[in-house]
Amino acid sequence: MKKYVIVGLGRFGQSVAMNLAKLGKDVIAIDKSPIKVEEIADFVFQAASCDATDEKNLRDLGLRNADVAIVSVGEDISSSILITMTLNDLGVKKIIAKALSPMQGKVLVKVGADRVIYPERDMGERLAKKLASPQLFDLIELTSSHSIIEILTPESFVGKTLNTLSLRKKYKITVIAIKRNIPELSENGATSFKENILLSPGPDEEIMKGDILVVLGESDKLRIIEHIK
Amino acid sequence: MMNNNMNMNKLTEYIEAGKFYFLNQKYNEALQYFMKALEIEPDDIETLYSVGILYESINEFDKAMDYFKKVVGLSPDHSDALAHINKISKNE
Repeated sequence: MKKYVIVGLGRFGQSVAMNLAKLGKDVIAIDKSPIKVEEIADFVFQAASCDATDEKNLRDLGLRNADVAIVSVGEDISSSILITMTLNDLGVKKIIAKALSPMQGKVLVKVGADRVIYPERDMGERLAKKLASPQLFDLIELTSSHSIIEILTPESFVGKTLNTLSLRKKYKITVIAIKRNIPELSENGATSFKENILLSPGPDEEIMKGDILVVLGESDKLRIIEHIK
Repeated sequence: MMNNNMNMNKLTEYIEAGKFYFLNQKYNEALQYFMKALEIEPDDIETLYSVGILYESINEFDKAMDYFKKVVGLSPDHSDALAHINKISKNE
């Protein structure tokens, strides 16, 4: 099984570690703070409190065989650099390092990071896009020109079939799935609903109020769809 | 007394009609009946909760949240409403 190492258990590191553990992965979580380590110890394969900038500590933890390491030691860039270098020297197969600026990112790549992530910048971008277009639920950029978006069905689509809407013809976009909640009553008679997903909907599929459309296409064209009422 | 009974009957009727339309995915009609029920009894927890569920099911989370909060305001231990508030807060 793949072994994951998380160095730095701030909010980001802790979230990555917990989610990987929930997905059944072997996680080794490391932080200087014994309190943070204690908080996570019951949930992960191994948790250790040590100074990760000391090569000996990382070696003693047997990180040589680690498949993926995530370096997220907060704002202390010098520690990030040292840890990334050490993990690289130890032969960790893939190192993902968190950076706060493109300049930090460049340095981290130079010292051995395979991938640099900017969680704050990315979250800011996503939030801005979501706020600018309240219909938009999610966005995955496939390339610089193509994306998949999840949007709340515009009112003008409700009651029409995909064939009638001719989205492919008009905008060269494809509805690849529809997320639709199915109403039901629970055992005590209260209203409830079940989440459901319709993959590759056919041309005769009628769009219903509240549907989330998962749409693939050119990002420019998708932006038009986002603003249809 | 008579009036009270009549109102209670109407309230039940409206709630049942709201649920019927909700189950048939006729959300606008369902809302109309739930709102009529709330005109009779603005603090009816079952109706307020049903409206929250309706809005959440059609992904109108702000409105859903308003109704779940009203439920919790009237019944602070309503675990279902609290669970939906948590779920919506996490998704947003």
